[in-house]
Amino acid sequence: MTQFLLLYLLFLKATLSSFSGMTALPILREDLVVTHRLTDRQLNTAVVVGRLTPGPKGSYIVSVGQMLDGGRGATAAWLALVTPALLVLPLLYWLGKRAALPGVKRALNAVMLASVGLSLTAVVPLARDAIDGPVPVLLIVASAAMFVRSKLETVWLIVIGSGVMLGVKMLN
Amino acid sequence: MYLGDLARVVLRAGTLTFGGGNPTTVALRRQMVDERGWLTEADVTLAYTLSRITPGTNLFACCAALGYMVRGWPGAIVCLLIASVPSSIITALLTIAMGRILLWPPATALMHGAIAVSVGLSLGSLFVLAQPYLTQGPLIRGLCLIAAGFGLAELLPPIWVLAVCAAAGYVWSDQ
Repeated sequence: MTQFLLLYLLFLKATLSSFSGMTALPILREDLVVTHRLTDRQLNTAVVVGRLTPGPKGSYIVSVGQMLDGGRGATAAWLALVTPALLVLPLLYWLGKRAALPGVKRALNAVMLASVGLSLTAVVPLARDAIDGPVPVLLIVASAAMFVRSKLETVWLIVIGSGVMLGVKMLN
Repeated sequence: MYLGDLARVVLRAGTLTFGGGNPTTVALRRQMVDERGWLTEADVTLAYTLSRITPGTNLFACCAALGYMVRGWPGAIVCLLIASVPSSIITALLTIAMGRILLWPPATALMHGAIAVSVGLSLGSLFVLAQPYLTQGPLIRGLCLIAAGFGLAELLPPIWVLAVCAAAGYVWSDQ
């Protein structure tokens, strides 16, 4: 129980002091890699797992928990991921009543677009990792267009993209 | 509308949508606004923006806010659990299997393809999220560019970029 609580608090420190999943990465690295509880390679593998699974990319924290202490570590990490989410409700209660005011509405719209801008910058390193020739570029463009234009479940786009990349590798 | 309907919508979006939190938010918006009419576009914008200024994983905060808007506290708890538990189980299972998967020769190519598509999905979802606001005044579009610029340059922590943009949006009207 003590181990579970310690892991939960360690992960909670990382999630509470970051405003998106990936920004917790340096904190976790300092707490786990620098103290030799996890290697850089394991942390990178966890990030890859987070990118390959549905839901937020920040779910790599669950992968880190699994590596550290099996199911107990994964559960502690999951709990630390969902705990801060409830903080949105007091904000919603307070700001929700004022959302129709012109100034607040403009502020919300500005945050919406600024968030898109910030998310765009978070995609850049991912794209840098993914692009090593024309095929990944085509996959990126095609999947973006398909997502915007169709309502096909993204899981199928992942299956098709992986198949295309495997086919190209085999042909080479 | 029953909690079960809400749970089904979130389960589908949470377990079948890849590419991170933004594509999942778009999938939830398509279901809750376009398909079922439970919420308005403004509700989703409010949930999304508040989730960005809440510590932790944005998607889970967004799900909690959307669930609260649809069905109050029970809706918030159901959405949060349904959005997080299945995807966390998948993550834990993939972590266990990862050692063996990496020994399988085609795995690298398959993962490479999946990550490229994931990048495309992120870009597509950002376009869908921004689209309704791109027709608005130059201030709003400028803020988006500024945020992207600051993010790239890493001059300010993201929360400060959002705070500056919110303050600018509050005081500055394009009309």
